Amino acid sequence: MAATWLITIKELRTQLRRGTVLILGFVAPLTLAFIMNLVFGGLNDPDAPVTFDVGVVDHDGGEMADGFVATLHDITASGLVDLTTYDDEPAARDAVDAGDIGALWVIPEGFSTAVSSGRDTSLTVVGDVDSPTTASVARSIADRYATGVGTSTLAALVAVDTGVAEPSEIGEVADEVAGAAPIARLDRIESDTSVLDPTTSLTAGMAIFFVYFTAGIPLLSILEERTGGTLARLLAAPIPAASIRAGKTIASILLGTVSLACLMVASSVLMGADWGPPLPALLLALAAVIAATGVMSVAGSAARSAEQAGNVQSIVAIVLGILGGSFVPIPGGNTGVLGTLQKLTPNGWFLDGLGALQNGDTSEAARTIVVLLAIGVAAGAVGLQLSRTALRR
Amino acid sequence: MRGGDDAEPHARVAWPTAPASGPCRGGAPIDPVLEVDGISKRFGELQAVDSVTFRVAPGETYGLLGPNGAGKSTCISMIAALLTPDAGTIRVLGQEMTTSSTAGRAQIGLVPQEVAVYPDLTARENLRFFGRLYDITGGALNTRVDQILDVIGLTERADDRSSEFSGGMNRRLNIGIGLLHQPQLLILDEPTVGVDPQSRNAILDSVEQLSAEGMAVLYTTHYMEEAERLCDRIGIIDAGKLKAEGTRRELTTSVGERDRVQVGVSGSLEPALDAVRHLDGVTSASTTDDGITLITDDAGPILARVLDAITGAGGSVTTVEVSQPDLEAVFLHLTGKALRD
Repeated sequence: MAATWLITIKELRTQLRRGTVLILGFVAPLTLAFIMNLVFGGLNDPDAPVTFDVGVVDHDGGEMADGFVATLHDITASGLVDLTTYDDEPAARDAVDAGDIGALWVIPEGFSTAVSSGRDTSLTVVGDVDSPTTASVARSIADRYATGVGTSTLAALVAVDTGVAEPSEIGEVADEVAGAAPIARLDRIESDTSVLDPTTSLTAGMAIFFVYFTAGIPLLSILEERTGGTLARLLAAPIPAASIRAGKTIASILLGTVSLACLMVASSVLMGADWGPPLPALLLALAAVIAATGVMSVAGSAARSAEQAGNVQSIVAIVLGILGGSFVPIPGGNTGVLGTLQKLTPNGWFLDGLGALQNGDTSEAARTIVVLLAIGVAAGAVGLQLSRTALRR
Repeated sequence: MRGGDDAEPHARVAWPTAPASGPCRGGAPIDPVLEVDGISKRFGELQAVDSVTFRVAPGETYGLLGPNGAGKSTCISMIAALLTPDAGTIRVLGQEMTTSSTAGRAQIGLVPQEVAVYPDLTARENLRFFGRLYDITGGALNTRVDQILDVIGLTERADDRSSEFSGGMNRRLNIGIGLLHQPQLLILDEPTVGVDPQSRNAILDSVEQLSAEGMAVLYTTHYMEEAERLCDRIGIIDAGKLKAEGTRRELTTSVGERDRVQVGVSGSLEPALDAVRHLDGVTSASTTDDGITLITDDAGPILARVLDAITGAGGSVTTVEVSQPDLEAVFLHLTGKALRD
């Protein structure tokens, strides 16, 4: 054990003197998070209202069309959408192209008559490719309206079939059914997982990404010592070979955890990031560092030189960063293929854990910590086996 | 020059390879510091080391001489327990060396071929770190570190990082670390490669001194002159096999190489030639333009008698030149190639 600590202290001293660890563990993530925060400045204020700029063109002017526009005005009143009414469809489409609005509804001529008589018709949604969320919201409103209209029309047709109403009264009955409840409304936008505010998300994403570089130090250090000859000296000393790996791993975990803790404090003070309660956040950081260290003990373990291993580790860190949502949030949250892939990365778990902490969900945060530790232990066991070969290669 | 000459400042042991015949000094058996018995190592298709056997006694400097790639460093790696032999055993002071046992390793001081120091640590920090790995602590560590700094001439630069040192200074620190825990066996793996002549001489002087103090030294080199200067016995290794071993004299004799003595003589050469031709130890003698050339197994013991005989035969000696066969010739004879091929 004494040898392990000696090697840990030596490793900390040499790494700190080199300065690289300070750059990778603190300066680079903080600087990048700060820059990204500036770039995505609009997302800075977590209390800023989210609004979707949309437009509508009504070629019909009938009752059903008026009902749809009235529904849109109701939604506008909630503050979630900013509605512009256009008389001229080309002008409205130009506004979409120019990015002035993110989506446009086009109500065709004869829409009301078609709906009232139970004939097929369509409500066109034009979306801006650069505003996928707004376009998605617009489509959702249109779908819900169409479903509502369909239900009303179906009710009217049933009424006619059963003799409750005359065929000439279909439109009237449908209007009555439609008027019973809002045909469309925009629910509060929620995610099925806890989502971090943008500032914390960016800082945490950068922090966990750069943790991989400190986590890669044990393997790189062993390969450097092998090249330099000091590894032979360590292996020839009367100490267990495992203490060499253990000492370097402990140093790496300490450096990574201190680096994350410093980033948490600095980003809270400088950028207003919210990491949740300090102690659980620190435990989550430690678990994330252990997971990253485990993963990095495998990545590059077959390399013959520190340079080769460093290249492999960089690629792994970037891939995990992309899949784990370190750089940009994963579309669709935790659902779909990307959501599943995100759950295979320590990055994804770390960000989810922070989201849980931010929302006060301590049991979810604890589960995340357990998962991260399990990743670290499992990957570390594989890395340990591989490192035995690397030590004596 | 050492190389197995009899008149040495400390005891020399002509060490037999066969364990059964056992080493003796003054009639008493001496336990070897290092016993290497039939070690082999293969890397894929390459048989790096093939059944190598030798021993090193206390106070003896044993040289492994061979070209690059001969298997010297692989032997060293196995002896220092960095590699596990495919076959054979290695014992240091009776302790079997394995990669999992630590007992024998404490007795070894390893000086790798590379400058194996931490460039981001000072000389003192390097020494203290390795000293503590060998369980030297407290005041004893401080004292020992100061001693080593003094021995390697780095006291003034003790608190400078080794990245600021010259190549020679780092080489000295490299050796100093190997000596720190006062090992019974010092292993030097080509310690003078890439070293300037001044530092090289300093290193060779240090090795001679350590050997004189009773430390067993295993020294690998592909420099013939270093082996001749430092080593009591030499093992010639090539393609993983120990081709021959012994003192320099034994090696040169074993391959039929002889000393050549050229004596410049003024006066009549024929009586002088007759006088020396029949002396014991003279293998052959012939005249040259200005003197006599003798071939002998060992020039040292007979030189005085040769000069007396020439003078007694009426000749006057003007010059004497003794040429001893070198290890280059031995290596060429044993392997069919030059040492630096």
